[in-house]
Amino acid sequence: MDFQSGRLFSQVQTMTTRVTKGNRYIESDSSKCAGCITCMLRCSFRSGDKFSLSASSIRVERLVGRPHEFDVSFKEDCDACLICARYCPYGALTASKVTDEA
Amino acid sequence: MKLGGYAGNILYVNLSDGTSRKQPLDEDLVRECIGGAAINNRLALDLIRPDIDPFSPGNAIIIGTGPFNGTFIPGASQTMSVYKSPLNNSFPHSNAGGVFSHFLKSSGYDFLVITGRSQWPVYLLIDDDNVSLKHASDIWGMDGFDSTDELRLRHSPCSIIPIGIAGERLSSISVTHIDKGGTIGSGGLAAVMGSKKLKAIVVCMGSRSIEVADPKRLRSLVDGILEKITGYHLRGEMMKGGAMTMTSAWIPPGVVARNSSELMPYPADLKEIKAELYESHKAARKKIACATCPLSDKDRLDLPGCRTNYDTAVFMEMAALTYSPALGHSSEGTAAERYAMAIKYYDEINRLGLDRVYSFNGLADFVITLYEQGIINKSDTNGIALDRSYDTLLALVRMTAAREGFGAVLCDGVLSAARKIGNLAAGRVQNVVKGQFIAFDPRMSGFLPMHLGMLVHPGRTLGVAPAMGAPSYSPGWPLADLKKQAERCGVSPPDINRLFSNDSFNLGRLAKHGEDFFGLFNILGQCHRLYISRFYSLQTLADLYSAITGIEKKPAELKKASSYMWDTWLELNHRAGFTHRDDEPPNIWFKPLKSPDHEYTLYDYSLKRPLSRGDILDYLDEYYSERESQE
Repeated sequence: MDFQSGRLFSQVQTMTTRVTKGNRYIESDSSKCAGCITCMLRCSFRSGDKFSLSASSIRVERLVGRPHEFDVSFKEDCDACLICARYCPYGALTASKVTDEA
Repeated sequence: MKLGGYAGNILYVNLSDGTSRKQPLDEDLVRECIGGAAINNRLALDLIRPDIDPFSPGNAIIIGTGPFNGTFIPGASQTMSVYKSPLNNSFPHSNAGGVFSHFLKSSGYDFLVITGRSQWPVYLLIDDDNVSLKHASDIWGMDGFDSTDELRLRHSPCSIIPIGIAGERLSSISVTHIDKGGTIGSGGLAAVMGSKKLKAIVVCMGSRSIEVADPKRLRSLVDGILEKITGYHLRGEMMKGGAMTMTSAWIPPGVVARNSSELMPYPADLKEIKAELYESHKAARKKIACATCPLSDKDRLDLPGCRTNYDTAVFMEMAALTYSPALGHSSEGTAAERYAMAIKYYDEINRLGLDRVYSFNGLADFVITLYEQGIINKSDTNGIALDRSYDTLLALVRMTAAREGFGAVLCDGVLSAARKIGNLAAGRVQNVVKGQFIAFDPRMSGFLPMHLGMLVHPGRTLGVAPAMGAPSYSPGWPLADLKKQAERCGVSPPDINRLFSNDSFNLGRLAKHGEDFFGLFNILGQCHRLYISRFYSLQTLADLYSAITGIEKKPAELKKASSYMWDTWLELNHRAGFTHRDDEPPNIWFKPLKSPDHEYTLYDYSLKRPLSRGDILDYLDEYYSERESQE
């Protein structure tokens, strides 16, 4: 094993996905996702007062053999309500308003 | 069933004929037992003959969830299991996180009962109403983590309970993991799966939903809990270091070795070593969280030149493995290199699927000690010289999991190994109760409630269930703090007055109440690790339960349901042949544990009063008396 580099952690590439609705957007950074699926549960509960992973407009999927462990994606029906970003404990989802630069 | 919080069904799978059936979950049973470990017990009482051979098709693997699973309650991640153990013929409970419980409920099932035996290797695939057995010959022989990866490629999004080589080879000290994270099945769950030719249980993310009786109330309660968690002063650091952040202070001055007769000290510069290891850990770590956990104590560890590693939670004592002369020692390397070697060992043992904490580490020390004492030699070990080096430790892991060579002597636990080695070995087994080692020698820590739990419950307790929160697995806390914890855990004011005196408390009786509180976590599906359970009181659990199910239960009623769960667990094991006589404390506890500069002897929780065997037996009598008096 090569320990001489002094760097233990292999570089994780940031992988972002963005969903925009009106003047709001949510951006996901899969490299920060820890896989707790809170976003999926929050999403479905907001829209239906019940928990349904399959009905969630955001999806967290665990990967195999990739630098990041999880993949975060949005379905087409996502209305960028921002609830997933509000409750993400790991900063993997950020919400903001669209500006000229965004 | 119309109750909120439940999927409403039990799934029965018979591996012998390949059939499955869905049966509605009985509402009366739910109202009485709530869920999780309590209903698991009831199913086990009904379905598993107490005298059944653990490897016979009639043994059932029972996997359960609770009403909190499937919701966004922080830490509602646990999956609970019970089965008859091949290690000691008991009915051990265990639980683990991941997302299995959420996915099982999303497919429409609260409980899963697997019986029978397939003629060839299979894995069970659950995808809503599509329940099928798939050929697994192509993955039979893979370790647990590679099997998980392969099945994830086929069925993602899904959650997986696989078995490794140790389970396939029917090792009684095998365990497995959910989603390459939480350990489940101490006492040989993986071997029971192996005996059924069941390589893995795969549950897909299903299409069903979980209803809630009072959504507004649930939102409000969870927001309150999250506010406490996000304001927790250690959360920021824990997000960087995971479980190691919370446990770095727990590392003792050395490692207990030579059949629990000796404390082998770490190097004198342990403080500096710990600091370096902690930095290495943080640099290598990527956060992995179980479902709904806002603290992420599990680790993905990327090390140069290694495949990606995973662990359920790396503690400081684990990271310091190679510095210890007791087991897995290496005399060379930087802190980063030593850390990488330690992680490689845990990765190996996790992948192969052996129970490190309660079986393998003590077993390895046992046979190395026999070798050092000349009781066994190379002719007994298939030519291997046993020493305390890292290479020897890795070799022992591999041969034990594979049941090959000297590993065939070791793979069914220390009592079996002693019998196979012969008379001189049998009398030297120490610190073992009901076939498993007592973790955390009480001569080092003082006698804690969790030690009582390890004496009483075969297969070990549900986590640290008898403890009354963090103070009671750290000795010597002020009584005022313990009383505060007791209040949080729902011990009534009259009971607190009865159990606490001005300068002491009744450990045996208080342990019963600690069990009742923490047992609820395993009934509801909630994580009881200290850094998440600290945010919950009995009142909080009762409020959440009522909001979800619509059944208004007072805290005392919830606690009574947990007490019933413990009673049925004791009944299960009593029927299997265990009596109070099996709770005897090990003889070694009443002899000094020697280190080069100190002798540790057994003291009580306050670390002021030496304890005798009679004192421990009194604790046990008090425990049973308290449990019986409140039936």
